[in-house]
Amino acid sequence: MPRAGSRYEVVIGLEVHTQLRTRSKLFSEAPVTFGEKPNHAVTPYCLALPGTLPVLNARAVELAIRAGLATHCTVHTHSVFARKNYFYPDLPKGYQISQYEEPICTGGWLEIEVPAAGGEEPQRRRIGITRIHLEEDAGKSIHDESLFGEGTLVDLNRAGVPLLEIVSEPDLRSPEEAGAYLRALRELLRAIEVSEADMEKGQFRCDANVSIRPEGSRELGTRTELKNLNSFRFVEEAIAAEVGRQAEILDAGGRVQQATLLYDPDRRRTRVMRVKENADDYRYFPDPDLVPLRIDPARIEAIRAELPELPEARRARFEAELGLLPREAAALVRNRSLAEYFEAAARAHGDPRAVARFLLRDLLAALGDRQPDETALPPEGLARLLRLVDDGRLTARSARDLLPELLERGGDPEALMRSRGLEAVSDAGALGGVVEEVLREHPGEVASFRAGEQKLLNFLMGQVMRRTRGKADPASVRELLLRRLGQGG
Amino acid sequence: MSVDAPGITLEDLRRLADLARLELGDGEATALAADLARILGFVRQLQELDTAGVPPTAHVMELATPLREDEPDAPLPPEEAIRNAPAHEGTAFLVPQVLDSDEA
Repeated sequence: MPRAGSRYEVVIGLEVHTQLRTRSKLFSEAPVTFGEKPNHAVTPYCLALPGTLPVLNARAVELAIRAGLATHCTVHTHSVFARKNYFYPDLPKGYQISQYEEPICTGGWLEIEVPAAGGEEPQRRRIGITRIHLEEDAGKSIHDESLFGEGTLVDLNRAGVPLLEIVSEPDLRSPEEAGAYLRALRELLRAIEVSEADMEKGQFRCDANVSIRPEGSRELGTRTELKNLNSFRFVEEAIAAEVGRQAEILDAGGRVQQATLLYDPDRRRTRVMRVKENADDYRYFPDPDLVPLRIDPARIEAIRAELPELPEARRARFEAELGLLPREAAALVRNRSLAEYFEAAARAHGDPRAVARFLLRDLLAALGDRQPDETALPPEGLARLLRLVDDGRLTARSARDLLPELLERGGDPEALMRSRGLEAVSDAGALGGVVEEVLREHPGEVASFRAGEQKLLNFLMGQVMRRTRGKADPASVRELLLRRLGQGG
Repeated sequence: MSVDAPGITLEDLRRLADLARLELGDGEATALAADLARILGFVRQLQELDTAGVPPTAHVMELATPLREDEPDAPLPPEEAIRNAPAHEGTAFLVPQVLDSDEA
């Protein structure tokens, strides 16, 4: 009997809500804030006071167009706002203004990098984007424990904040692919400055539709919806847990019920929040307060022309023009700040591959949570540091050791190398003396090496390196040692 | 009890009332069902028109929605915002406790 997971194919579609980078709300001039005291960023419209009317934010429309173009969608010159009707205390109008039958963007795709097993080059796949539409956020309900049994607090600062909902096709086939899609989407939205997509501030939220079907089947299984997944890790964990839950049901001969679920990260289990008897009945209809949104095709083309280079185009250019390996290029473009830093350093240094290797291996480790442009080491400084290594004046290890201080305090790498006394010892004269000393103090090891114990060379090298405190160039030490050991006496 | 008006069953009406958070007595339900059936009748009458070749519209006016520059304005003073609220805690509205986290 094969393992449960292996007999089923997993089918995942994601709905992402991302907060647009605007200063005011979608339909009112209320400021967009974060961490403000309750109801300190509301206007009469946010409170749904009688007589108020929505007026659409031009910037939000522009950002939606930008997101559509960057995901290869068709941007429609005519789209319609609709009311999604439901009752909840943090939704004062009793409906959310969204787009339903005629969204602003449809039919695009996002390229993702699918993680590959065991050191192989990652695969790239296009994930379909069904639609992108504009909508307003709801307010916040605060279930304060001190008020337990007495009531719920409602803060409408967030009510009306502009969101984009980005709906993928059910093209994702594993929790890891779902994670890769979300990371690529978030990076793209940040690169084109559509959203800051800060998950901790709730600016990038995800719901996942998950179903499984027997391997080889073309029919879709019954899907469940996982709500409010607010970190990449939770998304992957929650989907994996839900796939396990559905597989258990099918293995036992049962049927998956259409339902909305929440993920409990502490118990690593999904929990049914409500079962859907029918599809949700939101009674969408075109908002009578808002006539259709019309966009001049020339405006769309102007926005297209202003788009910055997208991560996937940058990746292709890094491979084709700078000669990076696919793995290196993909790792660098994942982070816009890192990609730009790399390009500047590569230009200043002249050998993009050497710069890429150092960045990905040594710089990333030294950076920790910082972005390279937040440090005191400009890309030109990094290029100077690497040139010292190229010239044999600094060992790769010493270059790595200097990084923390350069990132923290900046300054000239060469001056720092000197002040720390790390200039590499590679000339035969200076090293020769150390080599002689080591050979003299370890006659036994020298004799054994000459008798055929080759691995003792490493021991002797280690002794020389220790005595030079790592400043010696390993290649030179090796060469000197072999030359001396090859001779008698 | 039965509702004879075509197109609206009492079950439909109960569901609509539930979605609209309306509590209906039996008498009200019967009267409302009759009203709704008549409204559906009016709409059905419109369907008799031949609209082949007429593009569907969401609005009767041939207008485009006006746009507003993304300029924030001063918000309401918070004490004004909560002035009409039956209850509040600080500047937050206080509403009857929401029992489940049933969100749309």
